[in-house]
Amino acid sequence: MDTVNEIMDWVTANGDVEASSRLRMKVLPHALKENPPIMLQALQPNTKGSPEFMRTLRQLASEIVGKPVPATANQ
Amino acid sequence: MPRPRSASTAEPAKAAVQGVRTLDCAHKLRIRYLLPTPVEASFLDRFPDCEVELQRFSQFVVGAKDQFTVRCEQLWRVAGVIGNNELTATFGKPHGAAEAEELVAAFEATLGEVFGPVETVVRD
Amino acid sequence: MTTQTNEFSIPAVLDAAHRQVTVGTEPMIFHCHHYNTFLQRTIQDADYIDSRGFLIGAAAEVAFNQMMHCFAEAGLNDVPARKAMAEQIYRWAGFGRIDLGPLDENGGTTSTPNSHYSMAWKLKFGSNDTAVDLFTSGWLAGALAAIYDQPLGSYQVEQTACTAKGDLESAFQLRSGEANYPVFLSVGGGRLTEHQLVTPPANNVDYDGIFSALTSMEIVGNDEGLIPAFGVYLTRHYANYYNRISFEFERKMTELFAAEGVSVAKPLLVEAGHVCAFNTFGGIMMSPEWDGLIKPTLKNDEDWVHGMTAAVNALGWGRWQIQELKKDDATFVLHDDYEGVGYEAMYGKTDHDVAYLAAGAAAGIMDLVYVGDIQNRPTLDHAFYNRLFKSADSFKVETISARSQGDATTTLRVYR
Repeated sequence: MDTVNEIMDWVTANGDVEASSRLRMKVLPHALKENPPIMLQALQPNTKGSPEFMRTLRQLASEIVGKPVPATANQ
Repeated sequence: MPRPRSASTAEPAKAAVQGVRTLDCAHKLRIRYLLPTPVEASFLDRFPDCEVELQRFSQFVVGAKDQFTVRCEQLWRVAGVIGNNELTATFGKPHGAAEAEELVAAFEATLGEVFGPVETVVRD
Repeated sequence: MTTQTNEFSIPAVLDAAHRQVTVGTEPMIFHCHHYNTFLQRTIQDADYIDSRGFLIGAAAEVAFNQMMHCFAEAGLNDVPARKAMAEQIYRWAGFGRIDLGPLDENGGTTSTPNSHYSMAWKLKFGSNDTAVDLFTSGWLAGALAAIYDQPLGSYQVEQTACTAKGDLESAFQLRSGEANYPVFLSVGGGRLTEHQLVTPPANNVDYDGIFSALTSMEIVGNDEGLIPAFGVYLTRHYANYYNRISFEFERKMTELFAAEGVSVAKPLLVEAGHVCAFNTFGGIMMSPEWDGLIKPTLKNDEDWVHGMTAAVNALGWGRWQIQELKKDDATFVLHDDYEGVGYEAMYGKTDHDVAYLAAGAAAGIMDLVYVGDIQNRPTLDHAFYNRLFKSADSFKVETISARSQGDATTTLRVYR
């Protein structure tokens, strides 16, 4: 999963009702530190962050959902 | 004591009182009993050693029915409505469903005397 | 209206005209353990803001104000009597049991095996790495200051053990000195208005009769200081506590992240309202109390919505009315909603609606009746919750007017 949207969609599908909102809450400061900042309320289908940001996003997503984020969108 | 049957494989019920077992949010055993006849106020006299609370709702709203709660030493609690065919009981302590069986047996003995044989199933 | 517990009568004052109950000038409202823990976790999820401070400070605020007024009204001047009354209020409200005996004017340590927050956290989320009962920590600091006629903020507090962490008891250490939390001054009941009632659509629900019946019930802490009712553990909590922690959280998110901060916080604050509605309202609508008091007069789905709304009026949240109601669309009119009243009193007018709990709760009522088929007694478990609130059929909320923005009422349109 390469894009922010793909990970958000995975969290929505696999997590509790509040999972994607919790992820946004936790990742917000990291998103706004990106250059350019990633506005979580205005994600585009191909929005990506730096490798470090994407690692943080995946880690937080896994913690919230309770299982690892898969490598590809089809898993 | 016979183990409760699973609701999904139940044979046609023969018992007068049907109970469905679940757990409440504190993981206490909760059983909802469906009765063959409505509960009368005299049922509450069966629990002289317990705390009985009667909410006289019929005095507040036209058409409402009085609701009761019987609490016994913080070990079990049963609630229902005078004139309805249901009781909801919780037994024992949180995560103590296994230890609650003695309490269930004692309560269902009383229930059986009033309403007939009791059979409970586990909700899948 | 007073409620008798052991030695003291809890001086609860029912203001029926405004659907509010106060004790020692603090508005008291019912909320369940699901809401209490979900809200706290939401706030603490934002680990980049210092929420520990205001989660404690808000509790100190309300406890201090309430105890000061209660002691004065009862003419209590000696310390043992003050401690006894404070302990009784804590238990009556469903927070657990607390022993103030080991504490003196310099502080001390007290512990309890019965704490609502610690018990609730374990039930809802399992064990935690850190202590969770920040509410009781603050409550003790505020109550102790009132007991010893000290200014609010005279005691530092630390929770040194927590049953949610696996300890046998929850323990709290207090020490005389500068507060290790922000000091807030309580706003009490806020500015209440004369309600200009709307005419609801025709229904079979006796709103006033239900209000009278429910407010006459003794829903108070048991021997453990807990209130198991309607399938949840209720607390008779402080409106100003919820308001302070919710709005301090929102304000800090705004300070750090401006509009992005609010847009991220709001869905979770509203979701907390869904959690409350699902568990508490769902439990109410399947309870023997509902079966006796409300269900006998209900004739259709719309009556179920009216019946639950009538019950909400007894929670201390303000007066709730329904102005319009169809299966896909409803308009709820809230007079003196506790969130709007509280925000105005604490911070003045805002540029957006802050009735987050109300929005989630109103949507929750509609979801339970029209999507969840609560009439047929579904099992209120986690899976059902997710199905209900993830459903494409679930309801959304639009704010039509907001007390916090200076309007006369908070009016919410709930639609799908």
